[in-house]
Amino acid sequence: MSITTIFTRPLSFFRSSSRSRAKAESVAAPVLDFPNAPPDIRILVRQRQYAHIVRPQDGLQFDDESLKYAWKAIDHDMAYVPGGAVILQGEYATTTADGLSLIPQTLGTSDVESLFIDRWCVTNADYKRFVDEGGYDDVNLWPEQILTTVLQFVDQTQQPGPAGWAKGSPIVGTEAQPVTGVSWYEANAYAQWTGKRLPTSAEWQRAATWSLSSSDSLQECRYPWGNSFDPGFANTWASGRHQVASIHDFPKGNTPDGVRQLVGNVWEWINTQYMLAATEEVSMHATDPMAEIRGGAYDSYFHSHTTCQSRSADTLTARKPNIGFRCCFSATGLEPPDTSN
Amino acid sequence: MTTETYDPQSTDEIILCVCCNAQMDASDDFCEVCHTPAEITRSIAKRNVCPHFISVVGPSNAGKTVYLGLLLDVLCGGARFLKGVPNGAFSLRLQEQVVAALEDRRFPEKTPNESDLWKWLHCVVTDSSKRKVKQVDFVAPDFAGEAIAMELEHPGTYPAVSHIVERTAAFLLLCDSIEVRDNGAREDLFAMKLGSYISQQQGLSHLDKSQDLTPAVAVVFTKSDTCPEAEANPKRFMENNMPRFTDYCEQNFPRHEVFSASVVGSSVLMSNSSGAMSRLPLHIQPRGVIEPLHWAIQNS
Repeated sequence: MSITTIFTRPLSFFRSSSRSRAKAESVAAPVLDFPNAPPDIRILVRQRQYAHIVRPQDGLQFDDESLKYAWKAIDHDMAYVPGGAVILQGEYATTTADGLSLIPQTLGTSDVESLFIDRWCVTNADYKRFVDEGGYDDVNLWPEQILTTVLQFVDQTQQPGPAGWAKGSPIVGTEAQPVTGVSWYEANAYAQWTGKRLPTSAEWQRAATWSLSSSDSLQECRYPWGNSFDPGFANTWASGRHQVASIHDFPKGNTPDGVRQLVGNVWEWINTQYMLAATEEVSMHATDPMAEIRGGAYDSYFHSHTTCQSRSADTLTARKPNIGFRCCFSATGLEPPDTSN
Repeated sequence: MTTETYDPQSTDEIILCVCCNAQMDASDDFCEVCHTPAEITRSIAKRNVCPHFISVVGPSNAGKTVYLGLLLDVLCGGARFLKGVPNGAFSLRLQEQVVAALEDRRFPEKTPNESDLWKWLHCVVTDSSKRKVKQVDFVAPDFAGEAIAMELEHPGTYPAVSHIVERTAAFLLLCDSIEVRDNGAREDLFAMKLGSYISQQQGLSHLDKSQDLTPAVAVVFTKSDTCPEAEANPKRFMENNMPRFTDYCEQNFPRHEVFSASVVGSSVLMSNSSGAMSRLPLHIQPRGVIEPLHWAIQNS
C-alpha cells in the first residue's frame, strides 16, 4: 500500500493487513526491522523511535527514503485516528442518603485533533530496549523534581526497571505482554524516548470509539467492538484468566481499524490529571497527584467500569501489576512522502 | 382431570433453630431465642445436611459485609476450584446489596446492630481442587462489628453470636490493615479478646489435647490495597504488628493461616462538612477474597 493512501484513502489504511499479520505472529513481541534501511534509521525503527523521523524535534530533516521507512513502521505499529468530538464522562462526590457517594455526570464535549496511536500497549520487549539504552539514567527524560524518586523505580533485584522484573529483564515468556509495574513518570519517559507521548483522556476515548460511532451524532459505542460486553473480547475478570495476556490475544476486541485491547488486559496511563468535582461540603484528601487510567484490566470486576467512557485513576508513582500504557503522537501537520516513483 | 394444588407447609411442623436448637413453629419468622431468621433454618432443613458454619468475624469497619458479599458473588461466578450456589433467594440479599453498591462505586451501608436485621447466607460450595470433590453447606451471618464487640464485653448480649461461634468450624477473622498498621496494639488486643472468646465458647480448654478439635482460623488483613506491607507478606505483617495474637494463635489454634485481601483497585479519601472521613472506590479488583475460604473449607 502506498504511503500516500494514509491520507487519500484513509479507510484502506484502517483496513491494513495488520490484523491478518497478527494471526501469523507467534507469541513473541512484534519485531520491526528493515534490513535495507540506512543503519541509523534501522536502529530508530527497531527501537520504535520512528516518530523522531517524521516529527523531528531538533530541526533535523530526514531524506525521503528514511521517511518512507518511518511511515512503513507507523503503518505497522500505529492506527490513524481522525479528529472529532467525544463526550467525556466523570463523576462528582457528594453526600447522599447512603453517605458520601460518587454521582456520574457528563463533563462535556471535547474536540480531539487527528493522531496516530499505538495499535497495542508497549510490551516488555519494547520497554527492555529503553532500559538497556539507559533510559533511567537519561536526566532529560525525567522531571527534575522527581529525580530522587527515579532512583526508587527499580525491579525486584534493585536494578532500574519495572517493579515485576528481575535483573533488568522481564520474566521469560512475557516479552509480548504489555509492560506493567511502571509509574506514570516511567510511561512518560518511555514515550518521550520514542518521540511520542501518552494520549489525553479525550484522545484515548476517540481512538476507542470513533470507528463505530455515528458521524452525525455524538453517540459513542460503549466498547471498541460495539455496545454489548463479551468476556471473549476483552481480558477482564469475566474472561477468567486473572493475569496479563499477550498483546496478540483477544483479537475479537480490536477496534475495526486494528487497535488492540483498549478495553481489558491492563489499565492504561493517560496524560490527564484526575480531577474529581465535589459539592461544597465535600473535600478530597489526596496526598499525591493522580492521573487518569483507562480501559480496565484483567482483574477489573465490573465491566461497567471498563467501558470506553469510564475512567479511574491512580497516583503518579503507583507501579501496579495491572497498569501499562500505549503512546501516540499528533497527526496534525504531517505530510506523507511522495512514494509514487 | 385432576387439579394440582399448592401444598402449603404444614403449620404444625416444628423445626429446631439451626443456630441455637430452640424449637420454632412454621409460622415463626425468627428464632425467639437468638433471632436467627427462620428461612435459614428451613433452607438447611430442606437440604437435610449438617451445616458447615464458617463465620466472618472482626471489629467494626473491618470490611466484613463487603468481604462476605463479594465472596458470595465470586463463588457464584465460579472461582478456579470453588463454585457456590446460593440456597434460597434470601442468600442473595447480601450479595445484591454489596454488588450494587460496589458497582456504583460506594461501600454498602453499615450492618445494623439489631440481630434480626442481619443478612444471612446459605451457599452450597463445591471444592474441586482435590481428586475427591468436597461439598459443604456454607452458612454465615453478616455480623455487626459492634455486636461482636458488645458480646465480647458482655457475653450473652447477642445469643446469635454466641451460638454461632460455638458451632463454627472455621473462622475468617478480618482485620483492617491500616488500623493494624497504625493502631496495632488496640487491634491486637481485640483479636486476642475474640480468640479467647472463641476458645471459651467452644470449650477448647477442656478438650483432650490428643485430638485436634479446634476450629480453623484464617486471619485476613482487609483493605490491603492501601497497605502494601500487608499485601506483600501478611504473615510477617501480623508478627510485626499483632505479636500477642500471633502468639495466641500459635498456642491455641494449631490450624491457623494468615491472608491479605482487598476489593478496591484505587480509591479516593473524602470528608464531609462534619469531618467524617470516607474512602470511595474508583474501581473494583478483588484480590485474595477466595483463598481464605478455600483454606477454611480444606482445614475444617
